[in-house]
Amino acid sequence: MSVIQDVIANLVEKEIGQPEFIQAAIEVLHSLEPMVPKHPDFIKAKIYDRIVIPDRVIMFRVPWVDDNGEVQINRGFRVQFNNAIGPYKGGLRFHPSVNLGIIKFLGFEQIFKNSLTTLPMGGAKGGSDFDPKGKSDNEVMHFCQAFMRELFRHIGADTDVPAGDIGVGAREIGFLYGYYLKIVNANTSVLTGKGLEYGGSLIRPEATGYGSVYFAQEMLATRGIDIQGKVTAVSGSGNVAQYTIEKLIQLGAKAITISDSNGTIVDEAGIDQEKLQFILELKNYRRGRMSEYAQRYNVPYYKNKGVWDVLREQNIKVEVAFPSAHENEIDQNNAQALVNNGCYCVSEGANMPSNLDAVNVFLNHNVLFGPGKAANAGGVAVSGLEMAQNSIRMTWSREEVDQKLQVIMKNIHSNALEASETYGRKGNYVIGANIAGFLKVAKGMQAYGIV
Amino acid sequence: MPEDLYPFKLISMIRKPGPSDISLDDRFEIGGKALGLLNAREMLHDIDPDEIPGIDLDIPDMVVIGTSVFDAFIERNPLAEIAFSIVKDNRIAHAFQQATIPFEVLGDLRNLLEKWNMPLAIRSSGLLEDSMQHPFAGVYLTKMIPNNAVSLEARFQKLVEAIKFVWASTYFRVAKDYCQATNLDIHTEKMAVIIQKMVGKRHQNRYYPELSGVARSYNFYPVKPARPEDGVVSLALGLGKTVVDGGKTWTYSPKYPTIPPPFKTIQDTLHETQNEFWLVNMSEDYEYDPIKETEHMLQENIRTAEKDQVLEHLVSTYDLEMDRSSMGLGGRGPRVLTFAPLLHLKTIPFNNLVNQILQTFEARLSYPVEIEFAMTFNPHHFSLLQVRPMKIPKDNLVMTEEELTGADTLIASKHVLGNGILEGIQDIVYVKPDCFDLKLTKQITLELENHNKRLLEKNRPYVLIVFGRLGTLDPWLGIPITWGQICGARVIVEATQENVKVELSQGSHYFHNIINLDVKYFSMPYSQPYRIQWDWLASQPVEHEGMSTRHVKLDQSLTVKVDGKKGWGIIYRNELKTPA
Repeated sequence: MSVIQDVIANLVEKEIGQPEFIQAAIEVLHSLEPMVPKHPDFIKAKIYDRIVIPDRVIMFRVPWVDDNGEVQINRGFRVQFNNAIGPYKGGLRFHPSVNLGIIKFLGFEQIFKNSLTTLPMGGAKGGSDFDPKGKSDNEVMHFCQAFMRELFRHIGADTDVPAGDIGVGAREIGFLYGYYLKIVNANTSVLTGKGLEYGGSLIRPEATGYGSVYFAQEMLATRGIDIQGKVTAVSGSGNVAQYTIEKLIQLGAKAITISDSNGTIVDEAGIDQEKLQFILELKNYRRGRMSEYAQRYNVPYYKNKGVWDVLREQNIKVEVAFPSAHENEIDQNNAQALVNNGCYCVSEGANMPSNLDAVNVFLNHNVLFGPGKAANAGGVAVSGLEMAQNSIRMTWSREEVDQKLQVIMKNIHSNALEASETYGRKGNYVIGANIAGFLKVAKGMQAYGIV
Repeated sequence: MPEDLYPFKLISMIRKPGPSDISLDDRFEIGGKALGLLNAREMLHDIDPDEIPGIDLDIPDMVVIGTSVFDAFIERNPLAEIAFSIVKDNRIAHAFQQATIPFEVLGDLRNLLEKWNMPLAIRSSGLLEDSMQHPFAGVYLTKMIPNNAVSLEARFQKLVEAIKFVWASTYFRVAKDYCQATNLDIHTEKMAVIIQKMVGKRHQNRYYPELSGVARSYNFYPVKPARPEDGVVSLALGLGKTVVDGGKTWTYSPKYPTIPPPFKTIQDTLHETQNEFWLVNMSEDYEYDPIKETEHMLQENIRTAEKDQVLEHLVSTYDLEMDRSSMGLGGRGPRVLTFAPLLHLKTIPFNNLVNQILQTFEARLSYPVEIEFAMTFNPHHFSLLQVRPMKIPKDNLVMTEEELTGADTLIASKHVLGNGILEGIQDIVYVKPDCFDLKLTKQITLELENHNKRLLEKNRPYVLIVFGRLGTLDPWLGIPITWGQICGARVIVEATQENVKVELSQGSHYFHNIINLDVKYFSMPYSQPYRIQWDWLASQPVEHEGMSTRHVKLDQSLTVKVDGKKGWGIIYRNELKTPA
């Protein structure tokens, strides 16, 4: 049995009742198989065995009083998984589903996501089984304060810096941070995702979209291709899609598609700055449908169809694809059609928009494929940049943050590429991203000795 | 006629010519809706104006064309044959348009328009309508007319067309189907028509109320912590058509006005709140079509309302950069119809007023009530448009503990949303309990979508049985499916078993859809003793089999019974011998 199999068998035996965590650990460990033979030192130091056990698990009760004066009790969690490369960093999730297994699963994945950004951030996750849905603002505030009453003693700018996640948005971060300030009386970077007025960073809404374009730019550069003038397809019309298109326009590429849940438009002349402004007004302010774009600019509209179905059915050629809508939007058929129609680069702005079969099609046809965990790391990266700005007591301009984001995406790309090359899968960014994320943490752990 | 002769007048074939004040003696010909408003006028005296400072409360002026006029119209033209036939609605509507209104009332109508040159709502008020046993809500049609043409003749023409249209809607398909379903004889229906001054303000060529809504003193789809008896209110910008048609509204319990609907995220709030509203088109530029309900209506985006400066009491503002919303119109950003200034900041004692009306009316009528209203602001004016008693669970919905575990009971629960009896369903789609694993929920989503598509094409409603939190974002808790992928299900069951002991969604992920479509929603937490008869399900004829799901088509119909008062429900394996 390989060392990886041993670790997995041990996990299955010990981590009873945590199927999500076991599943995540198995997936990560399997992806590391190619590198195991080259690092016998990791086996000796039992890195694989150690990395699946959190540094620390904190569980606490969160009592609070609802609007009716009733006492409510929730469970609070913070799993500080690994701080080998920087302070613990990872979101807080408030959702009735939250339990220890889920927080461990998320915390474990966060180690490698953070490491991949090349920024000094360890991995952690936390949260509570509190459900903000259907609660008044007042109740949410009372809960956040009660949660922070315990959490404050476990976090700190150099120790652990939580962020938001499901159920923890700007409102909750504000309440959490406000209460931390009140009881600790120290204005330090102890949370990210803060409002701009009190320590947040610019470029946060833009980060994922911009980042996926930068990642594509880097992938194309490995083949000496410039993104300028390239015909691209973008799916979705939310933040990620909007800012992907904005960056593509800035870099001289031509985006010809955009979609929402009602349908897809294809504008072969390309979405220019004026059209993008119309889209921003339409989707952000009017909250209207993409069909209005089709009417205004007299372009085809495909009702109830996604971008990738339309490209396949209409045999439309694109060179670079930016799936930015939702999970599993590209299946095997659509992936094959993209390849047949000349697409040679895919950069995932959404989380896992290509299903496993589609990914295999891309890899088998030598398509430059940037998996979500690398290509959409822009959001995590800006969290890191928020910490950095808070630490130096400075606020960077949009241009500065954008510039640093570009550097980070470049680094993510080069690390993933290098790892793929080192372990014999050159250009396979899926394997490269997994290994690069792990390697940095493992080397840190090894350097510290047995602690 | 001096203006003060209105607000409540009757035009009838029976009385002497000229409108007369409506009294309870006229109940035989003013229809259910008008009668409800007549009663409401009395009950409004019980509302203490000191409790609602700054709000004027009234019922808009109205004239009722009695059912005697309707009778004469049908007899003299004659229209009975086509009315009771099975021809399409538009043929009935055209036939009514070509017929002539009894000459005896024409003078009264002309006189009315000499005084009233504001937009008018022409509403139905059937004798069978709005009774407690048979709430015809949304069955008959209403027509809005701008009534602003320069020539009296042109305005008169539009009024007459609208009256004929409302009369014709008595015999439209939906009304016939409703009568059949409720064992009513459509031949006994007689239609009075209410001509009502429309509530609203004019903004260039747009006329609309700033706020409209429906409030009920009883709610069959309560969201915690609200209980059914805490009631429910749905609010919308613009005409009430948005609410009546089941469009996007802001729904809350008047007991907990600051608790928002159960949206998952702020992005959800942006998507699920109203962004378009209905108004009356005051321009002469409209497409002539007297048999179209929306001939003089338009839908506009919330941005138009912002330009009209009517959002002060209605919106929050979303900050794109901060991903946060704040109450009111401060700052740039999309406006979101959360009604937060009214409900949180209490800029006007609106919720207090709604509560008072519901409580007063319920106490006076001894039944739960439903009201429709519209409001304009600055000055604040609240107009009651309709009042009707609500249909509440009848004795045949009451079920015992023994029935919950009876031999014919396929599924039972004490956590059920909805109310009433549903029959005629023969299809069940279910997730197979023996091979269910939370690892497979994404794959199950695709299977369920295919079942739904197939059953929709065949127009077959079905019962859907799943494990875990349906519609969750997290695939480890349940099936992460969207409403569109299961929209054909009329009954949804969220089950649990040994390997899925999660907290159930209890419909909160689709609350808007399940309320509007009256979906019965069974939650079966692991802690309750009731279980599904899986063996019986497994022995039913399989229509379609997936890896993790199965579609069975039964030989006979199921009966679904939900007591909305207690939140108890049963799905019987067969048709009940004593149907509702």
